[in-house]
Amino acid sequence: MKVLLAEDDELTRHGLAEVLASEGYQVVQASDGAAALEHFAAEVPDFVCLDIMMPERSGYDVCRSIRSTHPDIPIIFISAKSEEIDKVVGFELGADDFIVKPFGVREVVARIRAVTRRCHVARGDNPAASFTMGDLEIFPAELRATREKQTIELSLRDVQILELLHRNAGRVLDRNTIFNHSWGEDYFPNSRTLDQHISQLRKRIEVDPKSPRIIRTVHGAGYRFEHGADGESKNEQ
Amino acid sequence: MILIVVLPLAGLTWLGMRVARDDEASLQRKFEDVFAIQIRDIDRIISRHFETLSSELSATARKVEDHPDDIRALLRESPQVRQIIIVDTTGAVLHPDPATELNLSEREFLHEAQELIRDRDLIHAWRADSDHSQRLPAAKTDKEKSAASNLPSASEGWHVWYWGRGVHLIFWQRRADGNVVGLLVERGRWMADLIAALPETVDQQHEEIPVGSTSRFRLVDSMGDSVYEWGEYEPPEESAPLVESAVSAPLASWRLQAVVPENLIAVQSSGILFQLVTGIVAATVALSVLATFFWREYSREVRQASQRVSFVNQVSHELKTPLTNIRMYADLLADDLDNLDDGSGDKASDRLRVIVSESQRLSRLISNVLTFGRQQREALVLRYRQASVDELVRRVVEQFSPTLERLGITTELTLNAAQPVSLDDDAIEQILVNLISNVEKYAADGGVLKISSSLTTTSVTINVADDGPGIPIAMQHAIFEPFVRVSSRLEDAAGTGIGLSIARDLARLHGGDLRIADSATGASFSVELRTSEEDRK
Repeated sequence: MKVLLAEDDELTRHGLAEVLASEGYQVVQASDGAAALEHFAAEVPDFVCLDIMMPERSGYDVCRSIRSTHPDIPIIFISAKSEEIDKVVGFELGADDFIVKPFGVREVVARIRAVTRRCHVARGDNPAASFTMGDLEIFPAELRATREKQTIELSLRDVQILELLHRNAGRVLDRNTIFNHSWGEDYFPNSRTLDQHISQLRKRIEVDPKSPRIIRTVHGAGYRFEHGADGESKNEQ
Repeated sequence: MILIVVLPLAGLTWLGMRVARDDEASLQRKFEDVFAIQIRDIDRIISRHFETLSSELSATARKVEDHPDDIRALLRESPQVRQIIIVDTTGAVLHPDPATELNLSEREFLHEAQELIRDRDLIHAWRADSDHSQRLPAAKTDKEKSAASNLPSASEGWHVWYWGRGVHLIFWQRRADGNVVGLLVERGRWMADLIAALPETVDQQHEEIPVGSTSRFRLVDSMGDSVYEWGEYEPPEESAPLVESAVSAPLASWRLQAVVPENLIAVQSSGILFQLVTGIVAATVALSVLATFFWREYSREVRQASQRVSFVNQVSHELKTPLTNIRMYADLLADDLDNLDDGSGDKASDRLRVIVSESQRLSRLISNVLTFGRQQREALVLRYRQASVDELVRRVVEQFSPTLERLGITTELTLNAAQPVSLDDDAIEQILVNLISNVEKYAADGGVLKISSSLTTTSVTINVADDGPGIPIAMQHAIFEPFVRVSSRLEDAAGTGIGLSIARDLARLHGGDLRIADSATGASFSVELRTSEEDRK
């Protein structure tokens, strides 16, 4: 999933880009409004994050231009302006959300995931569609999983990895395959990045992350999901 | 401006008009009093004149003998007496006796005095004298007293006799034999003497009222004709007198009048009116200057206050970008450290949590300052969206979880409002953040933070309760006012004192309220939010 991120403050832009990338999005960066429109035309992202106060063209202008050709694409405004009137203008222009500075990574992640869910719904994905991995039921369009009554939030990348493992149940997937599928082929493979991500994912989805039952490590080869070990899948997509 | 200028001026004008009206009435009375005194003085001159004339005529009357020749001789000596008449007690004329030879003057007199003789007026005058006011004033000098005492039974007085168009004066005296002697005073003479006794000009006797230059005095006879007039003012014909009074006896049918120009009092009071108008104009100018001064001061204060608020807002906004980067990079660094599986980053993670937690605190502070600014200029507006209250609660609690964990506060959530309802999620988040911030500040000794939510068909309720010291009963009403804090001691919990005020306003904007709930221990707040019609469908 591709995201256009337009923000003139370099540190904020890089930080947000890192957050989005770690969530599993492909990020296209723009440092001003004019560049944002150029990148939008060239890349056609799945959704857009726009700062309001930018050189060349304001976020409002960029929003208007995008809306004139792509009325349904989700747009999130990111701004230090928290006055209600700014929000009203933003929403009037058809913004899907409004993230007010200063924000924490978790808040951005929560809002980005919410927009991603809406993107899935807009694309026609069934939010109730799910697959199971052991005792875990995963709802890809909803970016969440449930175990009994517990809800576990997942990132886009988490879902992509779990989907890949589930589709290839019983098979060992090497790191390159997982990388190419979940990071994209342009991403320079770094086995540590993948291992760290799997480690973090296990902390959230495994009952005991030290002896994982869903994502098993095959030393020297990669990772594997063993189908039927803890239960049968249902509602296969 | 209206309060400072128009109302005082209206009051001043009304008061001024009343004063001017009262003043005009008072001036009218003053004029009347002054001219009444003048007329009284003139009447005294007339009275004194007739007293002198009485004395002279009394002496002449006493000289009257019965014989006609003696009488004629006396008349020749007394130019002011035109004729002498003597009547007996029955009213019969003893002199001039028509049965004797009379001169022309005597004959004319008898002809003119037919009615006087027939009606026995002199006898009546004498009889009436005993109880009538026409008695002459008592003689003042010793000589006069002795003369009077020589005539024990005599009495004397004036009789006014009208003949033709004129008034004629007869001085009568009753002699010891009972006969009455009447002296007909030469009309031209007594009138000339009277006029000579009257002043030719009017003296200026009053400081304020220009009596001399603006008045005319008239002596008017019984027919209403002016006998004599003096004074600089020449009134138009038939002008009514300001003051009028009857002349004392014997000319009691005559009147003294004082005439002044009709507009004199108006002119005098217009002076007061001029002063009044001048005063009001001066007051208008003074009040306008004062009001302008106050208005400029007020505008300057408002402008400066607005600039201060604008500056605080601008600074607060400017603080947001660096703070965003601090928070975001601290979060990212925390994630990096979490990824170090060997535990080498644990200490750094603890320190980073402090940075994250403090930057969150700073974010909340800036957010409250900006919201308070909007609250003060009544610019708080809600933006309704569909959101789940339970999700909001979880998000806020997660934000606070590192701090709460550090303080040893465990969180107990009983959430039953998962269904999305229409509300301003940012506003609800700010309410929750402010309530949990208070738990962090005031209930820092551990215990349990209980948050519960419930949803009915018309409202959502969120309860936030802690195990802290609670809010003293005396403070419970004041705590929602801006800048009120449970304790303002420096060593106590920090805070600006605007959090609860903002939280309550935001709850009220949702058609609900924020109240202190009953609680056995600690503080407990209840947020109630009205759900919209659409939510209930």
